[in-house]
Amino acid sequence: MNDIIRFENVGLRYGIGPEVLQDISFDLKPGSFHFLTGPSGAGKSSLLKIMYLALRPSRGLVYIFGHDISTLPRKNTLSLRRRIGVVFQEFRLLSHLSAFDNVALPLRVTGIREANVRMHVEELLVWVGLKDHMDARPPTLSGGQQQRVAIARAVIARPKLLFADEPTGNVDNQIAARIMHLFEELNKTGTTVVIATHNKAITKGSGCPVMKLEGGLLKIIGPTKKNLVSVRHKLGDDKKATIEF
Amino acid sequence: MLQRSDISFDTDDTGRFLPWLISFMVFLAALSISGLFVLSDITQDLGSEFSNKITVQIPVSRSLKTDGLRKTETLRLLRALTGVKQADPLSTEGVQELLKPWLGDAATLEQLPIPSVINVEIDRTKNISVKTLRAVLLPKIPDVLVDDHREWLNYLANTIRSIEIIAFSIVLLVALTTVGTVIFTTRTSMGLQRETINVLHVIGAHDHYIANQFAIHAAWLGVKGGMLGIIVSIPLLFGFKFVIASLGTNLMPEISLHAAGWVSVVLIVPTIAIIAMLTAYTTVLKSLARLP
Repeated sequence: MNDIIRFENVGLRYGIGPEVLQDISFDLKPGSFHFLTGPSGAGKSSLLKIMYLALRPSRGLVYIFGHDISTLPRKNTLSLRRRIGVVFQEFRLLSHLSAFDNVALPLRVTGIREANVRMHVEELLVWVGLKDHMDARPPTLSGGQQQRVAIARAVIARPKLLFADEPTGNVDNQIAARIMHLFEELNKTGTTVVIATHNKAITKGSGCPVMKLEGGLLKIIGPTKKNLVSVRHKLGDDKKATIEF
Repeated sequence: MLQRSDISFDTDDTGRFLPWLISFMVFLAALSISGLFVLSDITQDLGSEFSNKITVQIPVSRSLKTDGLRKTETLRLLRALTGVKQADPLSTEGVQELLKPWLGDAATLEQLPIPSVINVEIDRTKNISVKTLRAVLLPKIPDVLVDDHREWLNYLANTIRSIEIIAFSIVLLVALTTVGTVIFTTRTSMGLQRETINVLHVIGAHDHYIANQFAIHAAWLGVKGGMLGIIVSIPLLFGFKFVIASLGTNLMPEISLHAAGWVSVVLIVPTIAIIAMLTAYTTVLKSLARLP
């Protein structure tokens, strides 16, 4: 199985409530770049959480890096998590740690030597333009700077799969463009990228496939020649997902 | 902190509450353990001092001359017995000193009819007992009293053993209470730190990595609380010793904690820290096992 992610008839409900995700089926190829859009409450964050292993689906099959996560022992999910980078919508930076220490976290939890940690973190913070803010704590940074720290933390361990939830939501257009450029650069190195966003300007201009969630159902708009995505979404009656350009 | 922590325990109020509770637990444990050692020493001292000793009392008669003769005859009979290692009469001053705790200065009054007392040391391996002594002495001196220290010593030992069990139970209770408290505070702390824990979990932190941070924090709180408890209890232990000594009476045995006792009291601090650390560690691991 070559897919980085594969969903088969996945459904999710919280408690005894209605299904927030219904019969989601799709797969993502290595090195692809996708956008995830949809109105608020459509289930974007829930779908992302399943993909970055923070949530288990109520039904259906989910394969991450070829592993069926419903049968995968919990201890074995650790190695998968370490291959995934996540940029949270609210950044979720640890406010008592410096920007440097926040970015260093994914390396430190794997037990990498401190000398190597320092070298990689400094290099990345320079790259995202935070050379002069390494020792600053998140509350003293602007929204855009915090965003970049969050992105640096997500990419420091060179993940094979990167999720970003509204990464341009709190920054102006100029910084948004820089951030998108950063993701594109990462994608060029082979990382599969999924970005949840409301920003239509970004999705339209990119030419990348868009996964649109609405009412718990997934509709995939794409693919382009550049980013092929195998669309196997079933809308209850086993129809293929609508494909638009 | 002992080590850089990814979790901000400084903003966690549970960390303020736990050391105080641990200090109280350590205080109780220190008193109980000291008590255990002191009681054990007392039992051992009394046992080695009195287990082979018998006291023979010759009540006063109407004439001093007769009293003297009865004492000499008793000593002769005792010293002739196989198994009697030593038989020494106690001087009048010695008897008065023994009576002082009960009678005060009245014990020194010469008008008091003070009996003659003979301390006898026997070798119990030679098949000698109070019964043997009575069988030899009573036909010659009918009103002689023979007391075996072992009888009251056994009674005292049983009482001390009961107190020791109570003290040990207190130590056990302290340990269990510490475990319960650490479980409760760790779970509360995990609730407060949920956001950080989730981030660490998502970025690939091993459960042991997260549990270690809580364990080190709990151990540190244990050391802080333990030190406080010890600092309060040590002067109190010295105070007890001083108060007992200042009573100046032979009724109370000497209360003193030997090196092993002091070492045990001081070892409460690392012990409580280790208990707190292991409890926090296992509590966190169990809680994290519920994460996907």
